[in-house]
Amino acid sequence: MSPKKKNAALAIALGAVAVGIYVAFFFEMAAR
Amino acid sequence: MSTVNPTTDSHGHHGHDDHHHGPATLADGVWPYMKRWIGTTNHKDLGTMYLIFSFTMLFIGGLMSLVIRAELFAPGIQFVDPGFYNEMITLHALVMIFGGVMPAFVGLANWMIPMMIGCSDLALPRVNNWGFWILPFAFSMLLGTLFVSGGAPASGWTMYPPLVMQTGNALPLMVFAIHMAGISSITGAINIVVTILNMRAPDMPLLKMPLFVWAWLITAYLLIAVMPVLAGAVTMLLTDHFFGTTFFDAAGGGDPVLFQHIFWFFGHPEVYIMILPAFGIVSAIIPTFARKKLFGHDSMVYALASIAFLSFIVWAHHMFTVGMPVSAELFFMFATMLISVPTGVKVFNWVATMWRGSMTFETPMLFALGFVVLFTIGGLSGLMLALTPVDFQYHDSYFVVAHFHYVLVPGAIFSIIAAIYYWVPKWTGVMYSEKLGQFHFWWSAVWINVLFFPQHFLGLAGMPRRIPDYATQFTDFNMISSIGALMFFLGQFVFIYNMIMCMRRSGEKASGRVWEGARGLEWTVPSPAPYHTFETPPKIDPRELA
Repeated sequence: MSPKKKNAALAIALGAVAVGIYVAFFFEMAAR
Repeated sequence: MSTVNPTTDSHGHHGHDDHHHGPATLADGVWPYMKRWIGTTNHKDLGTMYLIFSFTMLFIGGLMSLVIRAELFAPGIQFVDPGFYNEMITLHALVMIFGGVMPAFVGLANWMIPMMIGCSDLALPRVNNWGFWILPFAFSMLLGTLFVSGGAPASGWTMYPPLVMQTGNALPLMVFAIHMAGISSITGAINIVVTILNMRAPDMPLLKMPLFVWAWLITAYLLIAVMPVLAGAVTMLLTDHFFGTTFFDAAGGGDPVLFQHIFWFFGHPEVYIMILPAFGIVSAIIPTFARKKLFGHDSMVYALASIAFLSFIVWAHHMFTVGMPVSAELFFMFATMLISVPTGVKVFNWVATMWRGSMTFETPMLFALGFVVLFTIGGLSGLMLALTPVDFQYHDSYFVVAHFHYVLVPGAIFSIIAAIYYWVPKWTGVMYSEKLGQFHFWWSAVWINVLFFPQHFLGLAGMPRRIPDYATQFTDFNMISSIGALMFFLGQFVFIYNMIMCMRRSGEKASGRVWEGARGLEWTVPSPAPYHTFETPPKIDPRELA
């Protein structure tokens, strides 16, 4: 994998973690 | 010691690049110059813009604190009505935390991390530009709430429901501003993690990175983990207010205390987001001026990681009085007290670094030492507050205000000032005025204590926080505190003047190494640092490694 692609892949993974926490948190609270 | 290491200096090559692709200056015309700053993806330009933005916000937040202290100078209502006073305490906190301290650390990270790990820029330079330019819009919107119907948010920065639901038209604007600031923080954090993990010079293993880089790596993980939680919490406020949900409304089966749990699950790691980079800065400065390697480098890394982990399991110490099972209160009390262990490791290591060092006391070192002493006072009052039965007495009193201001002002903000004095010769190529710097330190160190120390006594004597009026027995200490606030604020103009002189390149020329005892890749490039550094990975002299 090229360095640029490696950077993009890690950034997207970290971004997905952030969005995942946001969505999971919101819907977990909504389900209560 | 002030010579540039020839094996790692790529000045000749980049000097050549500079000649052809250098940044636009005012001499190239106003529009090209503006375009440079608007569209720049250069980490040094963006670092400068972050710092200028953050100091603008610190100035605005500082003016708000003067309104607060003027009102509290004497008992009774003096200058502002109580509603506006509440708006001031709310905006002061939001502006200082999200607009002042956090962007200042991001600015320092932008400037220094690529130069410290030997890469040419952050991994995602366009995202970096975008992350910065969100902020002026976010804070214009937040400050704009002062002019909307119903006034600015007045429920404190913690935004507890049901009180926050009384906010007028400002509520959605505040929520949106927090979302935008959060997106900026998350993009910045992602950029920093990717840069550190993927773009280090080949000769730099993780455990040989400077402590400032380590502190930021851990801070960035904290940001990615908790900013979405804050975003979730304020979104729930928004849907409760406008879309009929009842997350925090007991009448609909919700629970206002749930908000406090969610908010502080974000809020406590946030405290460490504002202090871990400060630890990194102090760990860079003290070895330089003690002319010794940092004592216990690896243990400092483990201490940072331990503090970051513990920050996730102590949130409810902010809400002991809300009514929790005793077992929960005991857990949060002991977990909180546990944080003093890794923090103690850090303070011990800083002292051990200085032990038998050849110390000198230039301005960055003075601010770093001021940090160690005064942050420790804030840490000790934090330990007092960690004790559940004691906290029942201190909760919501001025003792809490004194505690967190000791941590944040002579803590976080002193470290930012220390970092700027330390690195500004590298940025601008000229030395700041040492005489003015020394004056700035002693002036600040005296008045910051006049400002905040009496607030401990006020809190212990029973003065509540977040009130514009108070019983007459609190008058003397409030007057002393307000005088301290004004004097501390005025002293900061000396700093601004000193920095403007550096930015205008007025001063003694700085060498590449700048400080005799400085170690690290950033000191192997000339001063001022060329616009592009380390476009090819440097070969690192092992003496420059941590």
